[in-house]
Amino acid sequence: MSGVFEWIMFLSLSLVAIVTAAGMLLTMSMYRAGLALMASFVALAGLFILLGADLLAAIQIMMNVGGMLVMVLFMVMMMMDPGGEMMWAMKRDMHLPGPGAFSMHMPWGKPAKEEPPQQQDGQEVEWTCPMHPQVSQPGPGSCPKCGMSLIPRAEVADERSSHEMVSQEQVYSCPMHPEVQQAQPGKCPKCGMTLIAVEQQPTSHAQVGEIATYSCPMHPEVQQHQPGNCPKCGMQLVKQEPVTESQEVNEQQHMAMEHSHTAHMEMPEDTTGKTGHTMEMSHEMNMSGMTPGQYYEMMVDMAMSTAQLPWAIALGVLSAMLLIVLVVLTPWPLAHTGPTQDATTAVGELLLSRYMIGFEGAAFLILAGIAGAVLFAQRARRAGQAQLEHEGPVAAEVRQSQPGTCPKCGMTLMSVEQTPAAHGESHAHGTHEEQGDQREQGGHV
Amino acid sequence: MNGPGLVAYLIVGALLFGIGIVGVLSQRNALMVLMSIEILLNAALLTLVAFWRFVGPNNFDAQVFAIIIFTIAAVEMAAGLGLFLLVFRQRGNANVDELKELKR
Repeated sequence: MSGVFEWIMFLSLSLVAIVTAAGMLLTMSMYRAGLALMASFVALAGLFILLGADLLAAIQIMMNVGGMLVMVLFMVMMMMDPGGEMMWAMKRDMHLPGPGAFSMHMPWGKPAKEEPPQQQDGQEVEWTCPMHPQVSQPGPGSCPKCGMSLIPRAEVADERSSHEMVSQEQVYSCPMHPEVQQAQPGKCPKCGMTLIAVEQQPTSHAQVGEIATYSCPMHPEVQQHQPGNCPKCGMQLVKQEPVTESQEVNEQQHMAMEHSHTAHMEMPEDTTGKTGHTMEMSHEMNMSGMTPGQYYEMMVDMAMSTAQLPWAIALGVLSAMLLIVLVVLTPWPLAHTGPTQDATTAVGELLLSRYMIGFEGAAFLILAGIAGAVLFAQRARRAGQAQLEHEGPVAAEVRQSQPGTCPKCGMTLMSVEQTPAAHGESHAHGTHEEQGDQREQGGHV
Repeated sequence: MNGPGLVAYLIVGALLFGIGIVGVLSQRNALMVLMSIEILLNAALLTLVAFWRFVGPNNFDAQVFAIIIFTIAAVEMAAGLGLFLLVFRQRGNANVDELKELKR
């Protein structure tokens, strides 16, 4: 390999490794963070190949990239907002600056296309300045006050502001505890997060109207009066019952709380069609009346980082600088030859001779780790409330704790989740464990 | 022209290490902390392999040690995931700044 080619490969691979590692920290989406880390691992495997350690590159891809795949799976299962959709919508609606490319999954450039209902209704899109909400004009342009380019006002905020110009009143509320409301900025007494300014909702006014509207489960801003498909994602629109504003707001707050606290379990049935409405919460937030300091604190609250971010960045930069200085200044005893032996063979021999114990130990460690993980999960599952019972698919009164066939019709019993209301009291507390054991022995249908 | 030398690789390793430190110290979600630890381990791995290549290319003990680092990374990930899964089941989230029951 010529030196120039090696340099090009080195620079591009290390660029990818570093940029994606940093991108992992910048993105608001856990899913993207996992993918970015995977890309970083792959780039590192490329660097290993460049260094002549082919075996390690292969192991890197097999173990680390495969491990990250599992991690991504866990993220999708566990996080309330794995795609960062909620965070992203919040940021867009509040016109916040922030780390760009990694957080975005819709282009900034075409916001006018996001207002189909308005154009349907024949209303004009109002363009406004992100900093001066009082500026509004019918077409795009730049703000007469600060020169920033205008953006179309979000339809809901627009509607609300025209409705509420008279009655609106600013209070400060906690993003996690919507019941906390006070007249001046400060910290939430429950969780210590910075309070954010919200517009207080008027008691009731039927903004949606009496007719039922159809809305996309993913894009709540898409609303029309007849059924059809979403213009953005093509999903079928979901019918929404007309609700009064205050009910809807309560529901949104309830949803937001649920998302942030218990999150992972089941949702109430009547809100499943409105999952996207949490995003609309952000329309109520208003950044005016906040100092840049509070503004920053709120962003830190909302993002995936703790408030110690500046210190962490300082420490990271400091340690990296220190390491680089040490690396450059130290006279390394360089050997000017390449490896004479085939690395794979040599490592294999070493592993099977001198490092046999280490090899076995590594295997044991992996097994122990996996067993530990499974044990943890098992205990957590036992602690959970849901109990499985087996029920005849036709004869619903046939219920037993072991799988088998129905005594009435001979069909295979299906496992159902025991409803606590119907059967919870009948079991003494001690038999729960036993039942769990039986269920695990029997396996699942 | 020679290819990139030892110092170039070590600088990349140092930068990755810095990024990993930022992540470990600043991330709120326990899973993200685990992922940042992975970056730290990878930075160490890169420096190890670079040293093997440029300081002792015929001493393959370094590569065996690298394999052990892989193992540790995998075990850490498995145990960490199990632990945080348990925390998540009990609390509904896995934010490290809310895990402070042992404080009092």
